[in-house]
Amino acid sequence: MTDITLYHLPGACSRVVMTALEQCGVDYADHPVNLMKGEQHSPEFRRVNPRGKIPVLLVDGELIGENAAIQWWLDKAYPEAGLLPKSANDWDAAQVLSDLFWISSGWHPSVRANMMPIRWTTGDPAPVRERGKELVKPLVQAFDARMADRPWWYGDDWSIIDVYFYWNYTTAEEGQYDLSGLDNLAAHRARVEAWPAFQRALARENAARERMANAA
Amino acid sequence: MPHDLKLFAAYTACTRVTMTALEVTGAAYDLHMIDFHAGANRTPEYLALNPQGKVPCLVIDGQPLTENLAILRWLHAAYPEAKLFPAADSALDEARHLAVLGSLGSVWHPSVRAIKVPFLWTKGDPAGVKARGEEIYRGLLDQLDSELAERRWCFGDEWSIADTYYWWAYINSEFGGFDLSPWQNVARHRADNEALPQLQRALAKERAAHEAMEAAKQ
Repeated sequence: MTDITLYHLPGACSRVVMTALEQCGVDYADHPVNLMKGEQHSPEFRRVNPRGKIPVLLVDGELIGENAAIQWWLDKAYPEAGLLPKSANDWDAAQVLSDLFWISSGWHPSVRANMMPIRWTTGDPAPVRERGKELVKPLVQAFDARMADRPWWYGDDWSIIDVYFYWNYTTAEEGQYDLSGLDNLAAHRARVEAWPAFQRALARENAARERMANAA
Repeated sequence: MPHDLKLFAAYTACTRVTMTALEVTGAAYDLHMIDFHAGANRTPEYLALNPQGKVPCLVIDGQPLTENLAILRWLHAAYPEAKLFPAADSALDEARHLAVLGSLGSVWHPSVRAIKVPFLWTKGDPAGVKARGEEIYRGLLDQLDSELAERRWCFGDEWSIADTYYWWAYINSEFGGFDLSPWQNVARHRADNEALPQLQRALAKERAAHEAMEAAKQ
């Protein structure tokens, strides 16, 4: 049996990986890394991941970093979980990677500017947040437009990409981005929130939050 | 049958990496420069190909593929003999290659953008964004420099296209006034990249296409 450990932070984009693990139905350990307390810089965590980032997955002692790469690996390792659409050829596979990398390199840094502007400046965060909102706007609008005729990003079938989008637009909302008026996005949001693997991931995040609070 | 390839690129953009990859494959391709200053990325024709209005976009047998990292992986699958990435013995190996690409796209590239064009990250004073970008970038360079102390290229003895993506980050941070001289292994890695004939060919083609575009404006 594969020994899997997820290093994560409740509420961070590691929630997407946790949902993926729940969807795969595998046993895994989870270790919250308290970024607010700087635990990502601790010698213990640096031994796991010298780059000091979450999420990372330890698979039988081997490290995989970067959210998009972890999702891709889980899909290869657990194809029956349906994390990503089946690719008939290299072209299909490239389109899925294009979506994954679009979210990780396009959406996530923009959402971060909106939600955590302090991470993008040593000065006044307010104008960074304003800029973040400008960057997020065409992304959520494009998402809303595509969802007009389908329940999930790829059509009739759920994929982990739906949860990755969900994490980005709800995190933008936490950064005071107003999602009202985006009705297709709102319907998508309700579908993701009703997805069993997503609900199990939230419950597991809550348990990790309690452990963090008790340790503090 | 050879693929019909058209690359949409911009002068000094990360399409330098895509072009180097194409040069390594040896595949024939048409190069179309997009003039961002003239708004050529927002024309209806271009937005039909790439709704994001970004480069690169590689049109493969008439079908557009966007996102540099996905394009590099497609080229690797279509031209395996070019060895754009190391051989992968397992899905885990391949995931590690994807993770390096992922961090280039999601961490390196946005940090370099904060250094080179900090005003793109704020409606206010860009100085704080630049300072923060430099802080993040120094951490990235420290880590990479220590990795490059142990190996010539980022994955080991063999060049991969990820190496050229790092090179692109280096020179763009330098355009933003960043001093790279404290990182000696990075300096050596940069020089090794610049010694690649495929990289030099990509730069020469880019410059020629850029000059032709500028001359057409006169």
